[in-house]
Amino acid sequence: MKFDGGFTVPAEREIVFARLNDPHFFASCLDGVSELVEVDPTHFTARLATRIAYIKFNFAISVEIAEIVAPSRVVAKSEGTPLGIVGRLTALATADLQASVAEDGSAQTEVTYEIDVSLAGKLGSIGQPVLRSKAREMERSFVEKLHAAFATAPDGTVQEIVS
Amino acid sequence: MNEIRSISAKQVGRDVPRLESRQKVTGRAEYTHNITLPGMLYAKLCRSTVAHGRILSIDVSAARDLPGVHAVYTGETIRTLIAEPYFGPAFHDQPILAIGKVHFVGEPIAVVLAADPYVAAEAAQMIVAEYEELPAVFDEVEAMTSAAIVHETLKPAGTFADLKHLSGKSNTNVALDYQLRRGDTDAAFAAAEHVFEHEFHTQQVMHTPLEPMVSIAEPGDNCLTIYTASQSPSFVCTEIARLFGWRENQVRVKVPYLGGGFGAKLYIKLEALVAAAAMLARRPVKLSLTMEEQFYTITKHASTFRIKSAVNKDGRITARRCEIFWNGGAFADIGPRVTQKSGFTSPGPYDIDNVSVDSYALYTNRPPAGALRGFGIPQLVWAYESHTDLLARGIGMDAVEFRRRNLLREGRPQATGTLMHDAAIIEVLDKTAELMNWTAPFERGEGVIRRGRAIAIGFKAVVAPTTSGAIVNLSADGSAALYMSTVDMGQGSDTAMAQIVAETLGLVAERVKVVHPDTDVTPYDMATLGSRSTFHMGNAVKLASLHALEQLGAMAREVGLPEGTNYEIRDIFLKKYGMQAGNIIGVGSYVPPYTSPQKGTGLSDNVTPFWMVGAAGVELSVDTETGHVTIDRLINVADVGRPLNPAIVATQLSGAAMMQLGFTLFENMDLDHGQVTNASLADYKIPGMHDLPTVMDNVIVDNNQQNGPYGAKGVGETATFGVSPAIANAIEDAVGVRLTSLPLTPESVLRGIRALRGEKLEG
Repeated sequence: MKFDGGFTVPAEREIVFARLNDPHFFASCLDGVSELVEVDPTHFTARLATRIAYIKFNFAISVEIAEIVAPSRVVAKSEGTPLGIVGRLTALATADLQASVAEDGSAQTEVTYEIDVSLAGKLGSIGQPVLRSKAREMERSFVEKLHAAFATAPDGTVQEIVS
Repeated sequence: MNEIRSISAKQVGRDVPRLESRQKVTGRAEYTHNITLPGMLYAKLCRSTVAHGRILSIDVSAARDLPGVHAVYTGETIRTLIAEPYFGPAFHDQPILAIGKVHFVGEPIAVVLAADPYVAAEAAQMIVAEYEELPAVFDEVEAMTSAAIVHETLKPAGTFADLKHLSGKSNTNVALDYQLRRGDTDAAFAAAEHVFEHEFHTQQVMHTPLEPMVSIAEPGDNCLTIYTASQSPSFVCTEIARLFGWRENQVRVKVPYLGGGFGAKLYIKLEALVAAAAMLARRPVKLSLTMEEQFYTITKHASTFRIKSAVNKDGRITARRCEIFWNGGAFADIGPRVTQKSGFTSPGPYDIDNVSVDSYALYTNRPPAGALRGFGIPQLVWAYESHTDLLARGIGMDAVEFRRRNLLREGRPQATGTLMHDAAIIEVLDKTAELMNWTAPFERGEGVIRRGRAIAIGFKAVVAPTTSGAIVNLSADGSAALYMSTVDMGQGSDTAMAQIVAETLGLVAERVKVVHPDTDVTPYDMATLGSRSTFHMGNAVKLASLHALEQLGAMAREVGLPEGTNYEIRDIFLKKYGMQAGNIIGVGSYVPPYTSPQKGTGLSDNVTPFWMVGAAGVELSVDTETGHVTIDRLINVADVGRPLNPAIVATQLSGAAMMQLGFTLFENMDLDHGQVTNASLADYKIPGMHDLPTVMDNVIVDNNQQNGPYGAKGVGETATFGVSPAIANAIEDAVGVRLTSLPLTPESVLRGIRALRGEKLEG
């Protein structure tokens, strides 16, 4: 499953980049993330609780920051194991940050991302249509929370630039 | 009740209703799924979550500790029982449970046994495996040159002579390369008036038998009884004996009715696992797959077919080059046979002097592929008949006339050099054209609906010209029982074989008892596959019946009855034994002559004892706003020799055509990083009543297969041949869009229509 999209954050690129690279901030923007542990500056573990079609799943997640080009690019590899069911979640996420200027002249950052998620095991074999909509839902929520954290935008909204 | 001999036999060619129909509609027919044994344990599998990887660890402790779990086994446990636990008909490449490495997402890595299947299922989810992931290859053409190697070393089973040279070969994914060379293709292409070249693709699909695979093993004292939904009980017996280092008579394999097979239940599937688990646990073990698990077990080869033809100014094909890549998935199963046997006929049913074929069986990290109703032929016909229409179109000749000009005739050599006999190819083409009223004007539709029509014709050589044996027991009351290992999986073989017994012995088919496969009781049969039973087992059954008849004649002579006596059978027995006693055992065994193709040239003067010929004619409507295709009419025309039971033959034709319709229009296993993502009937659509053509005709042409039992030959696959290319050809006829990849979805049709108009389709 591949997703791509983008949004604009009403803040300077360096600030946005720094915040996105703060695992605690990043995790706070994602629903259901807990027990974040920083193993070293590029490796983290966490727990992700989510509901998929009325069934609750817990994933043990490990994240590796595979590439950092400050302040423009981050590539992260994630691997997750659902608890209590045989399966495996893998994701490769790339985020690119581009500085731009808003209409009112203030600095803003356009973030575009690509995520390739695959899920193996029973969840992957029969649940992909449900998972796809779940992933979209998580993505929307992430953008909203991220925006809320930079809630200095004049109109208070985050503008999607790619659907 | 005394058996009355039928006055005039006339049992062959009669629409005898299925012998088992009453049992089936009343729910009394026996299926392996319904069998339970005292002390039986249920098995559930834990499967790989990576497409290709080394197993670092498998932690089964939590599963083992779950209350109610009897045992948990991995590949290493199996090794304590069987040193080399690998099986397969062509290569010994498939481990009973993964050892050291996994080769596809869904490969079994551990099995849990419990008296309660739900406990076993829960425990199987508690197994934790760690892998070191390896690069994977999924595409058949990439597999030719990929750095990702699925099996370190090739291990041919030794059964097939043409695979022996691959023994110990490493650093390759090619499990067989079949070559055919006839004439001088290079010279013919150089001299050609027209040259056409195309590439076609087919997708991976699944057999979807509505009775999923199921096997039970019951251990005894140095012996095993296996109850299994298998199409090949004799092979299961041989292969289990080989794995355990036993005599064949230590393994008993029993097969009741099957709820569909289509090639999915061939060779060994679950039997080795339940046999090993039962011997380890010393309890009967049953494994029933879910529909989802069937997608990880066996599938139909995805394929790429590159085809190039030279055509002269008279519309004759002078040369053809075929390159076919078969995506065999992680284990060879019978893929190398698909590769070779379908290679024989990959240039199509055409009389072409210069032919070159390269057919490759390839390992990839997908679920394994094997035989599926046609043994590769539907993939080939899809390509060569799409190509044939493009040739006719390219030189501006009518599609039927172009075929008629090029088709093989009686007595002409086919690409392998084998002469064509008893193959009604021209008759099938002409009958199809006649039924379609081909020379009359055709209604082209109006508004957004555009109509098109087309035909396609294909043929097939026998894939398994092998042995079948039968026993006919004639009892003292004149009733007969037939003992054979042909599996009735819904195709009606019990009824057809009973008709042969009845015809030969002068009985009534409905009163012949058919004893189902039981390797302790019924004689050897290679397998129920590739439309071979009617011909091979039919001949064996006829020979067994003739043998019984011969003994009955001798008995009559012995008791002083004249030649051709009209005494009832029971009265002959009565005269002989003085009471209702004794029996006559007729035995028959049949194996047709066959000459293996020469290495290098692939030529043979006898590659098949008979040819199957099938054509499809299609009329369809395309909604140019949505790309949706409606099949208005599908005509299936077949040469089946003389039909033993025309009504059953008609259901075989319609069933095969409907199945191929699904593979043509929508069935497709979606894979994401090797994971099948639509492994359920909710997401993987098979044809339903609403998908069927508005009109479907199934027609048999008159023919007589001279070496067949009462003129008959196989029919189970014939109507799959023409469906896919006829639909693609008709779509082009309707809207000018040529599709070269299956399935022919509304989206691909619509994209084609938009592309022709120069319009972009979003996404």
